[in-house]
Amino acid sequence: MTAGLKWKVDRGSEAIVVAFAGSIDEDARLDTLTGELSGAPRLRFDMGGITRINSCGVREWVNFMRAIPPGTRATLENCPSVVVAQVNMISNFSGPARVASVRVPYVCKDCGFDAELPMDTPPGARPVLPAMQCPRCKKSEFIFDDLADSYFAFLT
Amino acid sequence: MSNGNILLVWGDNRDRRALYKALATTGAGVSFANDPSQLRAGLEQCRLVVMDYDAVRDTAREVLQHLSLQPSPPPVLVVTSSNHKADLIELFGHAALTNLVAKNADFNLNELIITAQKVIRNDIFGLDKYLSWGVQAYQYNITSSAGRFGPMKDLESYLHAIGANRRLAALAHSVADELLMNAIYNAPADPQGNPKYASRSRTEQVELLPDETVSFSFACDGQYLGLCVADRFGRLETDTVRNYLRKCFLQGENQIDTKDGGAGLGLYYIFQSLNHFIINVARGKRTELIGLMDISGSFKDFAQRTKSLHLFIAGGRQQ
Repeated sequence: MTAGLKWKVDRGSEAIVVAFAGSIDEDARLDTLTGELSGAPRLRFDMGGITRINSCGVREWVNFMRAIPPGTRATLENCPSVVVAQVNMISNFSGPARVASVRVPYVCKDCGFDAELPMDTPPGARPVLPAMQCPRCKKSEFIFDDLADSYFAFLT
Repeated sequence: MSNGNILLVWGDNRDRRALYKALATTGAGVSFANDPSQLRAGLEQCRLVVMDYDAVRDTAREVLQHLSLQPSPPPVLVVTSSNHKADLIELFGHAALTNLVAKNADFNLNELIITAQKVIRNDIFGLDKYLSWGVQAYQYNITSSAGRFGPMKDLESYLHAIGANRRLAALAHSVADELLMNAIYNAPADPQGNPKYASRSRTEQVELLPDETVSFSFACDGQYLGLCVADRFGRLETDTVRNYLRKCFLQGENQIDTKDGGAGLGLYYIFQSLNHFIINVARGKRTELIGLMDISGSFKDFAQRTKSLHLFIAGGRQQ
């Protein structure tokens, strides 16, 4: 069976923050979350815990985003590579929300260690990918593990 | 020359010679056509058309349009260096297109030879054609929608055990899920040919009848991971594949289906997640979907590789 999608809603004074974890798939009941978010002037979706998304889950997600009332300021934050891929492939995946920050895949060519590093994505600017040393083997360069034009296509 | 003819519509002379040598190894005669009129003359005997989309784009378009109007055109393999979405959208709009290779620096002629041999020999099925000889394949018979999770877990464990990149492993898992959902929900039909489970919600479990079961296998030769899912219905049409891919690449308001059943994104997801996507169909008998991913390096290495789509119909001609 699938791991399912879970979320935690945190009602702050300025925004409602929803932290998601697990798989967005056919079993994701996002319609039950929509009602909890009504009337919020600001919505922040922390996508960092999303591990998988399939084609049926995408439809659930897009319907969820369509239900965000017009005028609501919404952001997708901490988007892992699996979410970034959807944002780039599916026209309405981010709906009215702006992608405010992503996680960027890095890999060590020498020892193979990989990790996704947090990065803000302010409007109108393509992030600068920092050069760094592998945090595990400390011998080799830790490099961006994707094609920049494809990965950051959502910014153009 | 006894195995029929391959017609080559190609620009660069040096490439043309290399292609001639490679394609001649199939035992077929290889001839050249530089325009649609030459093509028409050789069409009767032609088993496969191979075209260079970059150097002779206008001719290639004319040829594709001409073949699209034929009642039973031969398979058409288009080779291009372009990975622009606009070019893919245009190419998927041609009804005569069956094979597309978006080549990159790693492109080699093996893919062309395998493609030509499958057509010439009318021997289209099998994952083994794409992997090194002797690799161990893991095979499963899937009897229900819930029955796919165990084999998918095995695939995940296998990829972890062989040290595959984690993102590539996750991608392979997703491809397997999409392939299996397609075979379980979309393929089965009643004796009148009406889909049995396609309109069901994917949250609704399906138990397959003995003559509806799906086969799933995977294997890796150190470079390519191959995933293979086959059903017993042979109902997938080449037009369906092209049209879904085109619709999804256009990213319009209708990108996601609102009908009951699946979201209509599965083929697009599969194509986008693979290096090579191969669809083999014996109408009314069997559909086999094969996915190949180069897992020998990093995700970036995978993303830079040649990408292709191959649609094969048993019997060679498209109708």
